[in-house]
Amino acid sequence: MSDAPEPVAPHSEAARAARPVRVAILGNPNTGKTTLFNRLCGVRHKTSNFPGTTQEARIGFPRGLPEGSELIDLPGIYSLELDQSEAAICRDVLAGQLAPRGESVEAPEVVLVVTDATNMPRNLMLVGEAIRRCLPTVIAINMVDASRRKGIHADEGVLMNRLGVEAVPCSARTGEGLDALLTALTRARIPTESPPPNEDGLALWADDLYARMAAGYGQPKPDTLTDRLDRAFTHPLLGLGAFVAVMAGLFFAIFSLAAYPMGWIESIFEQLGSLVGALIPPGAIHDLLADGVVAGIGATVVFLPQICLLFFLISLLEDTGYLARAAFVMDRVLRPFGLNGHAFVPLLSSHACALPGIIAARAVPDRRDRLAAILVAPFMSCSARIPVYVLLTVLLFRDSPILQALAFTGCYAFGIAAGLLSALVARRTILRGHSRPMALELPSYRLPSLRTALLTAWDRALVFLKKAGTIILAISIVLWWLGAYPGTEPPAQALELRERAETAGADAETLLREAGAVEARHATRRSFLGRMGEAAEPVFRHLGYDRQLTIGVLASFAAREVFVATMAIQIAGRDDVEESGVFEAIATATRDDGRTPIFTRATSWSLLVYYVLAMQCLPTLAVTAKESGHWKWALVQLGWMWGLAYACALIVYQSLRAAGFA
Amino acid sequence: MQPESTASVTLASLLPGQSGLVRETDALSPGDAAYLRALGIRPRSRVRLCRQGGPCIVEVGCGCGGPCCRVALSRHLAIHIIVEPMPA
Repeated sequence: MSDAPEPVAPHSEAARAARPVRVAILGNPNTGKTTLFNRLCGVRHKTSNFPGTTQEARIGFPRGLPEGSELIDLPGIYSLELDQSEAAICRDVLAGQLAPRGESVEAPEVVLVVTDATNMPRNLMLVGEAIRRCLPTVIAINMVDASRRKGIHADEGVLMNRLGVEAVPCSARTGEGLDALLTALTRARIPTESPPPNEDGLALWADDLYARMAAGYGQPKPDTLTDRLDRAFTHPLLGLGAFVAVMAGLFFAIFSLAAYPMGWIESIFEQLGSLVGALIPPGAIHDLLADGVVAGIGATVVFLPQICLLFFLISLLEDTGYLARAAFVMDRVLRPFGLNGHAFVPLLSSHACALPGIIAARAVPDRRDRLAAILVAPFMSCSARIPVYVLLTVLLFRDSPILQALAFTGCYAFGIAAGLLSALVARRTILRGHSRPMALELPSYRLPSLRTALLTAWDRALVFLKKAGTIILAISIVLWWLGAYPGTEPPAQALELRERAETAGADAETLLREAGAVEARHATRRSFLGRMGEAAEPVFRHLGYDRQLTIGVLASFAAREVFVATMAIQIAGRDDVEESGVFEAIATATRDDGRTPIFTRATSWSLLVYYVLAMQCLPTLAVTAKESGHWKWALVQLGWMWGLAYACALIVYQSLRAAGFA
Repeated sequence: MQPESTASVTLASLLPGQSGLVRETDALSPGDAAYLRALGIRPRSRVRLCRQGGPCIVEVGCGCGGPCCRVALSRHLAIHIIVEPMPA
């Protein structure tokens, strides 16, 4: 056993206390590391990544430490010695060979090891690995409030005396002990003891240390709450039922509660567009700002409430301990398709938007499993598909809301089935090989932290807005340009209508409106996008799509929801399908021959199948490339989804046509 | 005092609620064995099977009367962990 730490000279301690420190936070998953980071830094943090990886890095600027101090939140790991990317990042950061992007590459001045007071024996293994690095170290014994409730007691003095470092009992949830922890960070010392270098020796060392810490205290109380809840939540049938109920509640909350702020955002962007219209005279700059920038960003930012709500609720679920149980339950369902339980959160999130879903795939530990989840996530029906599903199901079953609802639900089920089967194909071909078998910690149930959930939602919102302001903005401008240029003279019919309006008196407004619609249709047809539609029409003809539908499909290549507005402009000259007469015009619209309806039963089913399966979202491709680490995976995703969509839509159209539904 | 030695079985074949002392994890790949060791499942650690099946749930303790944690394990892992059943 080692002696107690040497006393530190007061003047040097005072000098060190005033110096900024760079602290790396290390800890097992589920030790409350994120809660502690959030409690110490709040919104005073930035998100970056570790160079050469997709691993997110959060750098916080805590109050209570000297100005300029930083906390670097390392990924949660069970051991520094594991052959995993997260462990390699932690090893390299502690060795001074890696730092978050934008930070200087040097070893941290302090290692803060966050441990779980309710699970110290295992956490001491990581403490042992950390102190082997001989860096100034502080041990946070977190969740002491929970450990007291469970009757788990251990003497931190034993730890301090034995290792020669500060060990501070605290609770990130309640704030208990955090002042002492901040003080300890300014006085961190290099440990005076190092555990044995081999793994067996380390295990015995940790067991011995814990036995000494717990000596003299009674046995912990049995965790009957976890026992009782687990009997239900992990039961093969009850667990699945609970899972379905929880997910239904989650979806209901996302779609119902988010509807209000989504409406506000839409209204704000409409007003912004009007403001631009009023301030800038008509012309190219006006069109670029109003129709390209404002409309493009508005169409994406409208999903922000759903994304925030999704991550807020997922964070709450994760904090309660339920999410690990849901992964357990879903493992049985997903395993036959080559996915594991970890993949269910990314797939679930993708039902709101594939972007957060793909980002959430970072939680999947195995690389092949993670790639499979990323590749198939966009098959899950996202919010952007809803307007298309609504239009087509109403066109198909105009007089039967029940059949509309069934077809609508069928689209979701079809997307899930296609995603799972695609995962199976990927795991048997391009992602062949054994994945990591499931070994998942099921943390004890506890009350969730509202602060952590809010900060998680805030973080995700910032990431999403950054994308909306960069990639998505660029895509919006390119699409607007393709749809607006080269610009054409008004057609003769529009000129004639305008002439008649000058002398029409009360009917002038109707005539002017009709003239505007004619001009919009003409401009769309003569635009670059319109010409591309004409050129691509032979490719889509076999799916039942005429020139106008092909333009709609091409225009919505970057974002599916654009399809409805594009069809409305082409057919009715207005982009709001809810406007009076627009839906009727779409339903009865004919092809260029003036006789054949655009939306026949066969065409509508073909389109529905196409939109369930096709990769029609450029931002998703950009995020896939970033999260998978290579553009080739984005191209594989695009090729597979588009190929499958084309083949299935072809089969559906040709079969229905042969059956006389064309 | 150590319990009397009994025949070793796989973790997957313990009965729900039954405890055992891990004897070896040699049949697993080095990567899987290292991961389980980090989770606390290593020779001489005490485990209790909470739910059978694939995946199963085990409670992992330190073997020194300390607190436990729960871990869900795939069947593949559970059938390759050899344990010595302990009397109730």
